[in-house]
Amino acid sequence: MVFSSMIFVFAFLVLNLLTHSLCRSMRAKNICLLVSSLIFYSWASLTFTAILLFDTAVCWFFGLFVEVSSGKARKRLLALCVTILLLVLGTFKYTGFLLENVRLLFGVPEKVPEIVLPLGISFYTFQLISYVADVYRGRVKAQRKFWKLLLYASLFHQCVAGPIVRYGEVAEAIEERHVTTAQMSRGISRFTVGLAKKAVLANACAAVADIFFSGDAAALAAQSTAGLWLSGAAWMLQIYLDFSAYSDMAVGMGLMCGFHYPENFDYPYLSGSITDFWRSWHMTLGNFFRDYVYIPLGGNRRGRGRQVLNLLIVWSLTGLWHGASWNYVLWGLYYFVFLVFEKFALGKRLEKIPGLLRHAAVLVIVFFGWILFRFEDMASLGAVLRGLFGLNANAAAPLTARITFTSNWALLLVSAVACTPLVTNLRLLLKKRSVRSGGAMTAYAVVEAVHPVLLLVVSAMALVGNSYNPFLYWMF
Amino acid sequence: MRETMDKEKAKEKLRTIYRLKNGLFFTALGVFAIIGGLWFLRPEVSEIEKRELTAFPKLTAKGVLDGSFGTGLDLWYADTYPLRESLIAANHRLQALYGSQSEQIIIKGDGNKADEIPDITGPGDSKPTTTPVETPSTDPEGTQGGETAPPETTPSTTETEAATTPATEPEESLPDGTVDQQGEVNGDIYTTGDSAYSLYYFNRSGTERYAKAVSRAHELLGDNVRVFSMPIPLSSGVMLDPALLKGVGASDQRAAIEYINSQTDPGVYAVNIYDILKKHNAEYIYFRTDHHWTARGAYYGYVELCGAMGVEPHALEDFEKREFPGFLGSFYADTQSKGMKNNPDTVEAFVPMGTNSMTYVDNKGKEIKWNIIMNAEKYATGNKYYCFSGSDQSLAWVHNPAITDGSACVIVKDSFGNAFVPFMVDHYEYVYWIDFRYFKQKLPDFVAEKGIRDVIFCLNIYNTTSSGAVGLVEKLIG
Repeated sequence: MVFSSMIFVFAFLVLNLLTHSLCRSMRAKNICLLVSSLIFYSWASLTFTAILLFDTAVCWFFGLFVEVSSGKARKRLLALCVTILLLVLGTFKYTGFLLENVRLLFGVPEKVPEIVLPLGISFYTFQLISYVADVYRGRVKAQRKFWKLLLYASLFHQCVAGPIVRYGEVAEAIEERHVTTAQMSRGISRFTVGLAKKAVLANACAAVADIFFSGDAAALAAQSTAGLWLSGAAWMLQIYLDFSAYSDMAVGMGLMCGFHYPENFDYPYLSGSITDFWRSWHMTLGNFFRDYVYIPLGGNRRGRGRQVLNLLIVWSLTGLWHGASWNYVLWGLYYFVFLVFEKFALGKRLEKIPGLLRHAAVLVIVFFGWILFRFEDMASLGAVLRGLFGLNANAAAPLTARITFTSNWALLLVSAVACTPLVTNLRLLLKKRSVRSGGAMTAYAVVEAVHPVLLLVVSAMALVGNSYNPFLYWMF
Repeated sequence: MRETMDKEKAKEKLRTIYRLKNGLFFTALGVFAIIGGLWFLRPEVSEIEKRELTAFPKLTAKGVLDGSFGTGLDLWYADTYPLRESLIAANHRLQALYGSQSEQIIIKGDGNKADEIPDITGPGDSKPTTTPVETPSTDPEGTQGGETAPPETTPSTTETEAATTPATEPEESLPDGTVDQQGEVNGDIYTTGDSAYSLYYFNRSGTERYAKAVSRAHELLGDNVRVFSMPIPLSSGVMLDPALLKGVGASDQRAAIEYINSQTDPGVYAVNIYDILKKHNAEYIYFRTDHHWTARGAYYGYVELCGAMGVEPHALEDFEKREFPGFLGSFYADTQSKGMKNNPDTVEAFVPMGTNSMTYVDNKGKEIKWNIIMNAEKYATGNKYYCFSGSDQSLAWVHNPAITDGSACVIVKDSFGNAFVPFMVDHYEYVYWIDFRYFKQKLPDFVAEKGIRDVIFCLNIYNTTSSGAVGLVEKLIG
């Protein structure tokens, strides 16, 4: 069950919100949320739930011991807990990749077993690591009650595709939370905007991206240059709209229940540098790597050489986290190169480059980054990269590209606008004016009251007959 | 002081707005949820998509463990949501706003790209196609002079039932798979205004496998059984400008059929009906709102086949013509085009002279009496093509009382074959037709059992190309 499915929105969520609001005590509300979350998680497979329970049990157990121990023992307990969590993650996520590479090098094993990746394991593993690490650092108190830690790890709002929420960010809310009318209203807006971003825009962009980005390497090599650029642009829009939509929905549902999850995106396509891009793209993952990998490794405190090495480690891991395939590693290293270049070669000179040029450069770099991200086999990747520069000497099919563009230009334009704060800013402007002007107040009232219902209806229209609807970040 | 009061007032107003907003949202959410809960209103069949909708999944321990039960529930809930047809129609109107949809649209299917069609010019390409054979024992004159069973001879109740309840047989056995998953063409569509066309992408290995399968059929059946292969072009190849087709990367269907025919064993009667269709392409030979050819198109295919068989084709005027206007086919279902809706197709059907009675075997193995041309006047707008030959049944046959020489043929067909079958009725005492997607018996066994003399492969060119469809042809032949 994904958020952008009819059954989730009109059955699961409705029942969840209804029971949550009917529960009087905080304990009942939490039990309601935990049961909902476990049902949601088990929907994908009951086996996956066992892994989630195991990981949480490990962290709960170690968390309690880490808190009361000190010195080396404290460190060892943390290391052991993190190792267990990473082993579980590694077993499910990287065994196939590792064995495939061994097979390529040494010819054994003959057949690489196919291991299904448990839903959201990359997300909840990191959440649980942050919990034990924060207990170790004394930033949070260890949770005495297992079921409450399980609630944190399994909370269906964010457990399968982020944002990566730290225990400290929800610990208080688990004990005590309230929902005001204004918060509920904000939550509704965030949720419906996210739902429509995914169901209407991202899915439609995906269809455009798939037109020229489908098939094997030979099929890709036969695509026209114009078609590849068009699909590339649609793919770039899709990946942002899709992923940020999930975070919007998570934040929205959190607000509806009294949780305040961290933001995950801050209009990354408007960044003026690659450093800025990564400060505004999947922010909770970037912050995780900064706080739990980069800084513990020494960050920038041990000289330039060590800093570059630390960055290399962080960006290789960032790549690998996104998927067990070399193209993701390459994608991570691709950004490492640009980040190091910006930090050490350009330095302050970066700001002297005209803004327009910097923004355009970021978009081009990110565009090619997403191409690396999309194609897991190197032959397809090569075919597309050559094709983008017209080097395939292929039978051009410009008519298909032209018709695809004319049939979808408005969609692409609206999707591009959805990557900017334009609509949000207009809404805020209207709100500001409404304090002084009666007309503006009426307009704001209409916009506020109508938009969630409108977005809900439009999303239902798009979802009901649409089986093509996977979340991109679902299986990471 | 006043400013503070104003601010307070504004705040209160905002709170009222938020309460209104929240109330409206939860009301809308609740209405959708209640509608979703009205299980008795959930549709089982989609009129627009002409398929059975997803059934409620079976609850099994394995399904719960591996997640397939959950996935099944998701699909069932969305697929059978009570308002689905209205919501889908509304969504099509929304999608029309994605860009300028005035004239041309291309809907891409599975992203297949065309292989280059190998050049076959050169010596040694002497196929029996071009040489009409000796006239067979069937006397075309005799068939014309035979008794004609009028449509009325079929029990009228059967026809009325079908006309008033289109969701029952034979439509019941026509799931979406017929068109979508079983490999029929509706994936790549080129649309202009109120007309759409199926595009074709050549695939060398698929076509070679098909040619090999047909050749194997000839080898297994021996020289006493004639094997005819007649790939049917898709509308784009016959109706659209070649430059335009090249522009969208689609293949030349004439060359593709020539290549397929060049690959079959010389003993196979490989028929190329492309030229005759192209010649008549100003006539109404393909539907505009559906991926099939019309009966008139099928007639020209029949004329060309008669040439290869060495028999005289009947004139189109000799058949009783029926018309069923208001047909909106698969292209309309896919595009929901306003142009098509405003200008629907008319299904023309030509009733065989010898008889209009046929029998088909339903999916429970029961023999059902039917009409070769059913009255489709009351069929749903999307179902009028079902009037032909009992539609896509695994096995059907006609006993033509006008001929008594024991002659028999079998037509191996997809849904394109349905419009073609009626023309063959007046040439044999027994005409059998089997749908290659559903028929389970091996073809050589069936041919031997029925004493069949002619085997006619009558598949649209996509089904002679796509590996999925060709796999089923291979399985049929054994």
